[in-house]
Amino acid sequence: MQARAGDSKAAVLMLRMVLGAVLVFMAAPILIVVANSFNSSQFNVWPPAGFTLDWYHKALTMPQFQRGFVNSVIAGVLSTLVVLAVGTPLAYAIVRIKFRGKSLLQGVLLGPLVVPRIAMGFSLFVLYLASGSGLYGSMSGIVLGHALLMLPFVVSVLVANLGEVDPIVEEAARDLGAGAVEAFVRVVLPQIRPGLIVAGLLAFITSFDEVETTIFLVKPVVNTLPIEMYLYLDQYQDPTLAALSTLLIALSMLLVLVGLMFAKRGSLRFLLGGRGA
Amino acid sequence: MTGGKALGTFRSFYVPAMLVGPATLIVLIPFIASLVVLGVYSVGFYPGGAGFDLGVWKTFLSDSYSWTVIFTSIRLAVIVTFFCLLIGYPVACALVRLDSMLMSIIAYTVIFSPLLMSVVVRSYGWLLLLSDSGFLNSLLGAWPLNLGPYRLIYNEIGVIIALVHILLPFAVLPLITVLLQQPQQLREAAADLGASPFAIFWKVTFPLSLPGVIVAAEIVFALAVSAFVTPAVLGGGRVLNLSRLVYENIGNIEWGLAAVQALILLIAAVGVLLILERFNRRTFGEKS
Amino acid sequence: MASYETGDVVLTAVEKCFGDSSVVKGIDLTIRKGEFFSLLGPSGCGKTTTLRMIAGLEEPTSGSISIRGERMNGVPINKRPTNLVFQKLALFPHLNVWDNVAFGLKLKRVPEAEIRTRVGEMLDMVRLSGFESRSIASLSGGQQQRVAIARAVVNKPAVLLLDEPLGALDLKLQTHLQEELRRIQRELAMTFVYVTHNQTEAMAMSDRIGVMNAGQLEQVGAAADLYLRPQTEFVAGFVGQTNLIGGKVTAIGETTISIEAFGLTFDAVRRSAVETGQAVTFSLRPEQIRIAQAGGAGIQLPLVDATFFGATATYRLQVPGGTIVAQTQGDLQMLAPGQTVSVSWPPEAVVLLTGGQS
Ligand SMILES: Nc1ncnc2c1ncn2[C@@H]1O[C@H](COP(=O)(O)OP(=O)(O)OP(=O)(O)O)[C@@H](O)[C@H]1O
Ligand SMILES: [Mg+2]
Repeated sequence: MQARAGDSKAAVLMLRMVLGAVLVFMAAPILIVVANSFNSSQFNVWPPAGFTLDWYHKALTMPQFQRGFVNSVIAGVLSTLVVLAVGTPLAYAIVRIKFRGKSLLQGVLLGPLVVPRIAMGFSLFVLYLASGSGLYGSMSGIVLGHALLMLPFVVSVLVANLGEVDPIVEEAARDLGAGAVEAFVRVVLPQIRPGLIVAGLLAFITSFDEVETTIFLVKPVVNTLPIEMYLYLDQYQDPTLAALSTLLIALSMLLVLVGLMFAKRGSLRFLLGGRGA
Repeated sequence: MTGGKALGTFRSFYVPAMLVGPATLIVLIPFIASLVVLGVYSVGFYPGGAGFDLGVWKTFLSDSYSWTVIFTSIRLAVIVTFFCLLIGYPVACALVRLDSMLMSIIAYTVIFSPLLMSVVVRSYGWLLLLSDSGFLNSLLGAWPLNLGPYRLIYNEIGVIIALVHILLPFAVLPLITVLLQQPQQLREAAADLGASPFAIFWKVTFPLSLPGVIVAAEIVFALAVSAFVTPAVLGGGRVLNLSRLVYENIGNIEWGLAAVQALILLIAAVGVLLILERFNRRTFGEKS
Repeated sequence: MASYETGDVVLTAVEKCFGDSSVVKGIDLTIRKGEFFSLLGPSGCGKTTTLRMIAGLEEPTSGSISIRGERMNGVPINKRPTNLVFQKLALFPHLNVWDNVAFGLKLKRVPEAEIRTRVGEMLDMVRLSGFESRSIASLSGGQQQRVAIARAVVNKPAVLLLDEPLGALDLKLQTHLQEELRRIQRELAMTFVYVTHNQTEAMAMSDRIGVMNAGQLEQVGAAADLYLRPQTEFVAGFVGQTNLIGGKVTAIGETTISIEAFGLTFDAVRRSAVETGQAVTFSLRPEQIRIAQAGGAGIQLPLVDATFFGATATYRLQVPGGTIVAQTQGDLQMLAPGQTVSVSWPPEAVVLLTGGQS
């Protein structure tokens, strides 16, 4: 712990203890899920009655989880692509161009952040039915819904990133012979790549975990994994779910590790609030 | 009229339209349309509905049960917000004081990586921890304490604990941000002027961090008031909030009622946000 | 007025407003083919704006710009035969030195082998060989500036626009690059439009110079023209140091005129139409004033003070109602303030400022 000006020793010690306790609190439910995935008791009895890998076998072979996983990956990838494809030009327009109705647009853009997910899900469900578009219960409907939920996040990340890109380099590219789109692709896109990656990951994770809105938009064939898990949990509570969750936790830890590895040296400095290690 | 860059002659209309159009068409218009449809449904216009009719609103709002549910939703959200701030603030203070890279990576990973995991998984974890024969009760019931077992799930306690866990990262993030933005010299100056550490905290650090506290409160409240999965899993059907009612009424094909409840949920969420925003603006002026 | 046939870049009544503020106020200018033309003027006078309009980064509010006889208004930046060395450099931060310089050639789909030789030569010229794979952020300010020059020059555009490209360089590099730019310009017969606020640089490099002030072109001419025959007070004052003196025409002779100022009479070569009694302003360069010990030829004036700069010395001389500045070179006479000295100048040194443009 680095003392800052005006810190008292006792206060720093207390902060340390609070942090320690909160780390335990944050890790506990995740650790217990992992531990319980090997619990041979069907009723999650603690301490575990014995060690088994059966739940993993069950989790991996249950058709609804297999299908759910595939659906989740498809929905996650597609909605991420859609939201990046429409969100990037939108963010560019917000940062670079003056146009009428811009502040209205920015206001509406905040909407999906404020509207409760359940309300969003129900109203989309109603819209899908009312519009007779056949979106209800279809993959396109899920992708559209997820894109809608994620657009505000994606745009705000990209707006922050684009704000860092000096517009003059685009002029330089144009001057050297690039068309408007070419200049964007060759000069702006590479510079906002970190933002695109962050926004993309954020979008994918949101889509992959979404329950509250999605639950109104699906029919069993397109159920995503978290929906299947929720429905399973509603009925059974054996450690199958723990095994499945452990696999998902491992997957997300892998993502964190990959992220840490790809993070440029020194770019984690922000963790220390800009101070040296 | 588009400023100085003569990047093309159509810039003033066609270029913004081309950039903004796709997002508007496939995202923003459906968003607005869905809210409109929701409003229309709530006043009786839906398949099988009787046409314009404020009856659903009247019945719902005059039923004392409805108000119980509304208050449950708000009470849960207020309690969860309170605990998230109470725990999140010292955690943020501790995080900005970490000076070992390894400790930082561990602490940030443990606090923020749960965001990568499904709410279902995290709620399930709390179910395992808190159930009658779960980890906590077996720990408390073992020698030498021999306590319990305590009923920690299927009631509000379990829901609150799990929601605090799930929403804590959303509180810590804005708090870290404001704490990091505070210039170190301010505290140094205060210390130089003879302020005690206690006085420095209450006179400098804390007041300056209030905008972050409000942002944290806004985010946590908005998410807590509309939480669905966690109350469902840890409340076991015994903790009823608005989200739960909306879900059940859709299942019962009570669409008008579901629409009314969804709108009330929306109003509650937006209303509290507006109040906090107003407070924020009044107290901190143009800064935020 | 040069015609389209001889003019490479022609600006006709070009104006530019940003909102309410008028930044370029009607410029007529013809830059000849293969010419090294400098735009000289103080900070904020609209040099960059003018250059950006030629490049196509700004559209003129009114007036027209043509290059090689083709009207450029509305032609997008990337379709113009120009390249710009940006004042703010505008290097691509995500590309290394080599890729920055090769950017334009790659866009034009120049064959790979040719790109290699041209970029290599260019980096050689700006003395950045060995820096090919360095990132832009790791370069010093001067190195970045050289990359910016290389990135534009390598394309060999018909018209190269340079916006204060040598600002951040030390004197030695400045001289080297001045020579190199001059050489490239001659060899490739490119037209250069070179913006600077440094009059020495402009005079050293340019075929002709346009002096800008507050959005207007004050005078266009070769360095010697501007120095010896400034037409406006601004030009006289901005190009070198001078004494600006207001007076009245008292007599008009066959080849000379006489002007009275400070109660003294200044003779000038008669170049333009003036009338007796007309109020005029003229310029008298300090170094054209001769000073000798009291009692010599010329008028006798008291010395206010003297400053020695080594190779040169500056004297301030008392005249009724003011002072004038004189500058001498070489052997220092031991002149002390308070002393009276003899002061004289040739009639050619007195240049009437008539204000108009040629
Ligand atoms: N995009 C713009 N919007 C508003 N005013 C501008 C803009 N660009 C330039 N100006 C103004 O126009 C005037 C001329 O600017 P310009 O950049 O052309 O000057 P300059 O001669 O290049 O000066 P310097 O030698 O300092 O680079 C300045 O007063 C500047 O503030
Ligand atoms: Mg400039």
